[in-house]
Parts: sequence; C-alpha cells; structure tokens
Amino acid sequence: MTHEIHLRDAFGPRLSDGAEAYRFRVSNIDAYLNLPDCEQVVLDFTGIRSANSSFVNALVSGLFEQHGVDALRKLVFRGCLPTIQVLVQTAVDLGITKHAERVA
Amino acid sequence: MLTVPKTINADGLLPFLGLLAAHADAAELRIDFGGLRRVSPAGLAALTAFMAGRERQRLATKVVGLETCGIRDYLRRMNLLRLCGWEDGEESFARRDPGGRFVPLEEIGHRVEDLGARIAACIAPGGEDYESANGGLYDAAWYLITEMANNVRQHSRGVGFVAAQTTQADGFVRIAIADCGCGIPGSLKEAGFPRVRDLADEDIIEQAMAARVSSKGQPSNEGVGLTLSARIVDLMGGHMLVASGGGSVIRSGQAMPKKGGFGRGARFPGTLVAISFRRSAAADFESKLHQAKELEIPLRASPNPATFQP
Repeated sequence: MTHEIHLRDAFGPRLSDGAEAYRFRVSNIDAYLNLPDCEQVVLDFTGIRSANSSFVNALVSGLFEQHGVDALRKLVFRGCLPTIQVLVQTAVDLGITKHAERVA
Repeated sequence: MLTVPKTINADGLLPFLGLLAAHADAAELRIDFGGLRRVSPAGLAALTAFMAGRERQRLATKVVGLETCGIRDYLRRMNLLRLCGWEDGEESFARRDPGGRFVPLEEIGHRVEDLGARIAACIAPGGEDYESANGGLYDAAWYLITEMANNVRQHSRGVGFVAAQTTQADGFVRIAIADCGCGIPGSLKEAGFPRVRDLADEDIIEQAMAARVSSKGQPSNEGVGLTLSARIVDLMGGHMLVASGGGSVIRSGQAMPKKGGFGRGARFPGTLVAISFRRSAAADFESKLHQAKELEIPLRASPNPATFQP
C-alpha cells in the first residue's frame, strides 16, 4: 500500500508554521511509517509555491530522527520546486544526524 | 526627553537604538519628532515596537514635534502614526501603489505565510510566478520574512512589526522586523541554555545565530531559522543587524561580526532584525540556500539523498 499526502490540500500554497507542521506529522505521517503494510509514504508538494525551514524541518526532520536512514526507503517527496527540494534534503540530513547522535 | 535624530538609517541606526535603549524604562517620556528627515524601515520598525512595549507596560509617552516634522506624510503612509496610536480614524490621504518601492509597517499576525507573500510581492512584483525574473527575489524575501516573523510569534511573547523598502536608485532591499518581547538573551536564559549563562547579551545573540540553538527545543523547532537566514544574507553579500536586550551584532558578508553593548544597563526592549541586500544578489536564491545549508549543516561522510519524484 502507498499512502499519499497532498500538502497543498492541507495547508494551501505556502508552508511556514513549524508548530502546525509538527502537529500534522504526528497525526498524519508517523503512524504510516510504522505500518508494516505501508510500503511507501508520498509527501506530495505539488502546488506548494513557498516553504521555509521552520515548516519543512518540523515536518520531515523528526521522521528521520526517529527512524534514521531506514525512513529513506519508505518516504518519497513529490513535486518539489528546486528551493523546496533543498529544504527537504536539509531536514533529512538534520534528522539523520540527530538520529546518529541519539544512537551513539 | 528623547529627541529623534535627523537621520535614522545606515550608520545612524545603532545610535538611535542606543537612544531607545537608554530611555526604555523611563516612567514618563517625551519624544520629539521635529527634526526627523529620513528614516529606514529598521528605524520605523524599532520605534513602533518600542512604543508597543511602552503601551504594554503602561508607561506614559508624549509625542511632540509631529506637526513640524518634514516627513510627517511619509510616516503616516508607512502606518507609523496609526500603529503607535498617534492618529486614528479614517485615512484622509490617497495611498500610492507600493509595488517595487516600500512596504508600510504591518503588525505580525497569525498568518505569517500570507504576510510574507504580501510583502514579497511588493518587493518582487511578478515573483509569485516561480519562473519569472523576480522569482528568486520573491523567494528570498518570503523566506527571510517568514522565518523572522515565526521567531517573533514563537519566542518573543511580544507584539511584532515588519517593514520593508526597495529602491531602484541603489538596488537594495531592506527588511526589518522588530518586537517588544523578552528578547533573544532573555529567551535563551529563560530556557536554561547552559552555554549562555555567563555571556554578555551580544555574545548570546551571536550564539543564537549559530546552528541548532533554540529556546523552544524539540520537537517542532530545530533552531536553524535565524542561522540559515543570517548565512543566506552573508552569501548575498548583504548585512544583518540583530539588536536585542543589551547588545547587538552586525554581520556583513564574509567579514567578522561586529558586536557591541548599549552600555550602562541600557536594554533595547525586544529584538530588531534589520536585513539589507542587493536585489540582484537574490536572483539565485536556491543556490544561496543550498550553500547556506552546506556551510551550517554539513553532511556526514556518506550523504543520504532523499527520493524526489517530479
């Protein structure tokens, strides 16, 4: 099973509020990463014009802090503008770094 | 009596902030605007936040000299008089289209993303279209405004204001965000950050500009907003001034930061972040963002690329 999350439907075209992103992650993403039946989680950024670090880090970084590199196998980021792609990769790196610090 | 200087911009900004800091706790204060002739967005934002702070503390403030101030109409158009409570009621003047020139002071509300979009659209007309020539400038403005405004909302516990300006003459963009909250040193000390306990306020501000320092901590805050913003401004060859509590830090391109204190117990009651950069330097914002990330959040030995689909 693939679970697709369309961020534009949830937030509109601009993503800025980290607290909102964190709440969304906990209630709409975390559980699917733990589901054995869920092979892929797609975070669809199609239609998102702007995003900042606060939002993307709160949405993405924690997933990798919790699951480490393994989350890369399940998570797919779709429809990112180049600027947003940089923010997503930054959040991934931050999360993996923090996961490694926790494990060490 | 606080006599507002003739010019509050560039080199005049820091002395003005020192003046505000020195008078911040005055139980009664007269502010004389009679001589003011030129003021930057940072001066406007700092003054508005200063007044909001005095209002919150119920400190008495009397304003004089506005009737003879040579830029009274400009101050009115920039919303200073209304936001400071010196003028109310219906506007009796016609607003010009601010596109591509200046953006009047605006209070930071809940919809930070919309605030950022409104101001970015004024600074970079047409930039809402990612492919347009102003797309990079729009993105830079939106990113910097929303990150700084988020900090006001999440950390300051005060009221915040934003103003901006862009001039064709020198090709610069100026963005200023100020609040009357607890300040960066106050926020980090309250959070019990061990690294800041014995530092001067300007050193604490410098620490806050370093990666992964946040008074909010986990889980929804990584403490990289101010860090990446400062680095992006560096990479654009711009300037960032952060004044908060008893100190200030100015970063200019790749030069060593200039730090200083207001002295004699004077404290700017809140935080001011003033940013300026050339319009042309923001054209490749994506690349600046990438470089900033590489410098501030270096990858480990084996990078882990995420999977991106079109």
